[in-house]
Amino acid sequence: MGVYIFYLFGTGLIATSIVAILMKNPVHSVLSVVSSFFFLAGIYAGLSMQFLAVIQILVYAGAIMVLFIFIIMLFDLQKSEYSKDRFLWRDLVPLALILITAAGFISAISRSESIKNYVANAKLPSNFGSVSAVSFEFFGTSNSVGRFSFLFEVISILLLSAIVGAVVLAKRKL
Amino acid sequence: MFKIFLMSTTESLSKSLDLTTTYLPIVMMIVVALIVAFGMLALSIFAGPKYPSKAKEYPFECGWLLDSKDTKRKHSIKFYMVAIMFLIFDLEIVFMYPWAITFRQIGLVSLVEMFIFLSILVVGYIYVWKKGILEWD
Repeated sequence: MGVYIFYLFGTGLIATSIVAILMKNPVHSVLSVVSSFFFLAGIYAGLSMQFLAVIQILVYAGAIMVLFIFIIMLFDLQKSEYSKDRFLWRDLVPLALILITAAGFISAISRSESIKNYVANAKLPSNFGSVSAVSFEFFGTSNSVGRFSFLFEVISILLLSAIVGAVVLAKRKL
Repeated sequence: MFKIFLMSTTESLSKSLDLTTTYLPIVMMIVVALIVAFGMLALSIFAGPKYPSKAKEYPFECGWLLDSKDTKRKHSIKFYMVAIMFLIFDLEIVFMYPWAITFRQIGLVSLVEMFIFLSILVVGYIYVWKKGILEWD
């Protein structure tokens, strides 16, 4: 069952991503990216990562795509300014290189004995991916600090630098 | 080869949670939402009475000049600033969901951790406030 869900959402994800690249109108591209985010959320859900799936839709499809649309509005592109790039045969060279590299990675991973053993013996805790499981990793339990408690605090510094960076970039006079 | 690998990966990962039963309510909700949305559109297209007239076909605009050609006006950078600030504080709130759910089980430790997290972000909030980003001048 799980593998069919993966194929379904994986195909949708790749298709919408390709459409996002090929569209001339940037708004159409953004809409395609939004649907690719939904497919990605489906893959997360298929891997039992429910909290991540919901956050993917909430933050990425909700907030970050709004920001993308804002940026497109800021650019104020006219139809005449849309990309006029045509398909060229030499574009196939990087594509072929990417495909060869990807095929190498995939064959290396699927042949690896250690990964195969790990996958065969992998056992997830029953609450894997739930909101409370994520929380215990971040905040610990009643008598110990969580595995990612320090990283969680570092995230606040990352967000702080994002705030300062946005202000410095967009404000005319500091 | 790759297919077997993929199958074993996804099967073992999804073993602990039976996918069909866990997500069935969500799938049903999505299906019902699609049926309602497209069903209403289809009903109004096929079953609704149609008396087209010139006035009805005229584009309806509210609070905007009629016949304005460029609907994509240049937008102020302030919209972008508001969007960025929303995004950052949105991400901050995302971390409070799991915190709030397990707060009773974890207790004081998580309270202290969240206070450190928020106090660092309050510095950014004060910075934004002092720089006048929150004002629309």
